Amino acid sequence: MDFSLTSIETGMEPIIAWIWLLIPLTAGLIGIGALIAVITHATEVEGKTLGVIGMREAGKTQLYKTLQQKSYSSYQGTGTNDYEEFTFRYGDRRIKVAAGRDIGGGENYIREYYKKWIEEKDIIFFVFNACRYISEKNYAQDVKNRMDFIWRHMKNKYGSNEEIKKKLVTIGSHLDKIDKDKQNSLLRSFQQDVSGKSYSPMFHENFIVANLTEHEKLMKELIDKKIFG
Amino acid sequence: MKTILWAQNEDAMIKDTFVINDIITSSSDTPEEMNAFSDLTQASNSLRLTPKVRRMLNELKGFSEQANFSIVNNTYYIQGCFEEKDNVGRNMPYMFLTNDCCTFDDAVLKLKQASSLIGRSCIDKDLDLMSTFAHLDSSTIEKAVSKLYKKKDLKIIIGVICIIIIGLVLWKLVN
Repeated sequence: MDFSLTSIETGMEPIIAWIWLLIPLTAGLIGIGALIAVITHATEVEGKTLGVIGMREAGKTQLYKTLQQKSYSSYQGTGTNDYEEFTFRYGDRRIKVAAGRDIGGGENYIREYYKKWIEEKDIIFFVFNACRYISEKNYAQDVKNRMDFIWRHMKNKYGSNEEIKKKLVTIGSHLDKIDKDKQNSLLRSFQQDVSGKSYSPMFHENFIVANLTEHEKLMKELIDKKIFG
Repeated sequence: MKTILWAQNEDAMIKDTFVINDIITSSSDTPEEMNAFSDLTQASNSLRLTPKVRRMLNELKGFSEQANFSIVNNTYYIQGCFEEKDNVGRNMPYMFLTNDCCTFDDAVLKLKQASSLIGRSCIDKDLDLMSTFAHLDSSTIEKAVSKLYKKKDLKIIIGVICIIIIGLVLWKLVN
């Protein structure tokens, strides 16, 4: 075996060359990482709190799942279900949603959560099943009763419609279950149905009729209406 | 208050059912029911299983997404889902509260008795898992479940490494 200095030096050369190559490579990677971190941090909106309220089987849990881009694997009715903080992409921004609670849609929840959440949460989503609204009178009446409740408390808390607009979104879900020919006139028929009522702005401002499983379309609607600013 | 069971019904338009001290009601607007629901809501504010723990347990053991419990001053609160499904095919949820028990397992027994009064049965797998955690506090549970979860990750990593090594050996042999 040849352990002369020359051979050791010769043997080390490629290793030293690799080390020299690794230093700028690592530095470059750290630099890119830092740049990404700065960019994403700059576009991240801090901790919005959401309150999703609404009718039973309207799609409240589905709305959370769609925002989180998660599948609704365990199909269960909701009693109460706390969720972790999550972040979702909103156009070219990332919106951070603070940890919160998914609740059921029964009448008992109105007393326990609605007023409190209207006062505390950054954005309130009110969700109802649009298909049932147009086909079942009792259901439509229940929806309107809740809208009345929500609107009155919103008015008390925020005063002007302009302020309420920043806080409240109404979503008619299950659009896919409505005949295509009825879909075009849907918005107008909803608006006519509540015409003259104090809560009628809920079907004018920030009103979305959607299929909640379609993430891209829902996001586009939310961006168009500047729901998260 | 001794025991309160709240349960959702099959049809969205039918009001929720309460079983308060073995008596079944479903009007939703009596003061007794309103107070009962308030008690349940209050108890649900000190749950032992964090969302992170439930997510891990869901992946590891198929634990129901919303099953959870709290124990405060010998008052036991349990929430979860029944085996039975509603009209749109979802397992119906329940919330249960009792201050008439000495142990979590006693509370589970009471829950099952109250559920049977309305012809429902709780998902046993969830109750069994909650029972194993009942004597632990929230942070200890999180540590224990995280450990289990990391083990699962480690198994996956070892599996992947083994596959790569076997692949390399086979490739060497073939060439």
